[in-house]
Amino acid sequence: MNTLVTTMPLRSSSPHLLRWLQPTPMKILALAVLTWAGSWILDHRDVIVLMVRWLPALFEGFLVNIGIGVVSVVLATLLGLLLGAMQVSPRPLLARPARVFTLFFRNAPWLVVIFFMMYLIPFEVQLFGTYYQLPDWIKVALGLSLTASGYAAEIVRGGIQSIPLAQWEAAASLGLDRRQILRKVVLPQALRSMLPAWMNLYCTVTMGTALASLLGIEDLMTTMQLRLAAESRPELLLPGYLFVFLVFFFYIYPISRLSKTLERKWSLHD
Amino acid sequence: MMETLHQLLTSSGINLTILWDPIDRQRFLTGLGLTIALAFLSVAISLVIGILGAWMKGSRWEFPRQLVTLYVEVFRNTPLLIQLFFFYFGLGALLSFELNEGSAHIQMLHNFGWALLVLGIHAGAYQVEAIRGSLDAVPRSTIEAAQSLGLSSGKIFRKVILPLALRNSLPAVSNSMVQAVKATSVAYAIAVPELTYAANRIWSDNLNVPEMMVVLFITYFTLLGLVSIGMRAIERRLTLPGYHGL
Repeated sequence: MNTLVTTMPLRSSSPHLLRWLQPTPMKILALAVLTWAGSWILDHRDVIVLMVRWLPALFEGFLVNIGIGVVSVVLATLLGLLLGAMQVSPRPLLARPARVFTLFFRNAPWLVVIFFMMYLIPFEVQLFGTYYQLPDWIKVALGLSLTASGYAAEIVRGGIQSIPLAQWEAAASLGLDRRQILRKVVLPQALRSMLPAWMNLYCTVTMGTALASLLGIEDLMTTMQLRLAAESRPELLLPGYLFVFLVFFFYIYPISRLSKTLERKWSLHD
Repeated sequence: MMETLHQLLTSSGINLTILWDPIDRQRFLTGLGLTIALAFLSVAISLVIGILGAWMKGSRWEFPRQLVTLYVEVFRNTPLLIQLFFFYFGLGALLSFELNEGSAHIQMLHNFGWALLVLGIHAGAYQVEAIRGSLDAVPRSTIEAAQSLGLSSGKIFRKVILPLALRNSLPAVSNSMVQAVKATSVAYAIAVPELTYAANRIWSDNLNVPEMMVVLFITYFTLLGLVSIGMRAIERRLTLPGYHGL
């Protein structure tokens, strides 16, 4: 009885545990990297103390990145919905300009479009008689959203076209007009194929927000660079830049992973 | 002729200095050349990485496969600019300081080299997936036919699978070339005097942002147009008549 109790859990957990402990080259590599990083940290405790002190400011910087990303992806989605719906319109007067706009912004380098917005939008706008200053980060968000709207339009167009024509005909025979069909029948069904691509677009836009640092906006990279410049210690450079690199990776990777999983899951069911 | 054009444009308020100012023209042309060089060389690097990575991803052993997956995921899920900064400031500072203290010319080559390396590695991560897909698309029967001719597995890969797969991946490769041309503008960040950087210099000297912006857009679109026309021509030339196996 006693032996049974002690051996049972061991036996059931040991294959799992063993598989975990089984050395594969990847695990050895990971262990080596972790050991090296650990010993580096032990040797440079002051660097870690410094980084921890910087953390709140860096976090605020990254919030700027996320803010720009969210604002521009929302704008891009709205614009993309409009452009995508226009592209599939039977009227060339609607479809042609939408196609040209999409082509233009999909092919322009992100950085050039951001410069375009930065320099050519007035620094203040007049609305209802009062002047509003446009903060720089809004301009960057607008620039990013223009480029992203080209991609969003393609996602919407692809999603709409993935719905079989029979759906359109069936809806039309129920007496729905074109706009009703699009809004109530086609788009809700297309949402499923559009969501993974849209999440990918969000990742791309968030990666694009890093460009804001080139225009003097205090995002994560600028915050880090200002701190590094103030310290001017060369041994800080590598961990500092690595930190920014890893922050972006660990924010974006889960989203793109989820997008891939959803894509696989939903395409299997169709 | 240039004089009349100069007067005509200036009188209508268009300050297009790259047409008549030799310094600005030189800056612009250097920028154009560097952008083209960056795009072509980085695509070449990315193709080498892509073929190597795709080959490793089909490996029998787990380790090379995991290594390639790690590389692809890391470089596809971080911003290009951050990669560039990490390599240029982070690793570059580690490697050597005396290299950074050369003349301006050496400095430029140095920056160009780093930009090229990072653009190549970045594009390579996308290339791996594209080429892996077309390697997998080579039909089993073709490989078996090659085996029955007595070719070694290395020879089969080089002479049968790869030529077919590369043909099949041409649309994806041409897409990645377009991305590469667009990505070169990020080299601006480490002061490689490519097109965006040159335009920036020119418009900050002459205060002609709108004109240079139009020129910049037109130049990039022309480059991209040429790339896609060229790639389509290559695609048409390389099509195997009657081969629809892929």
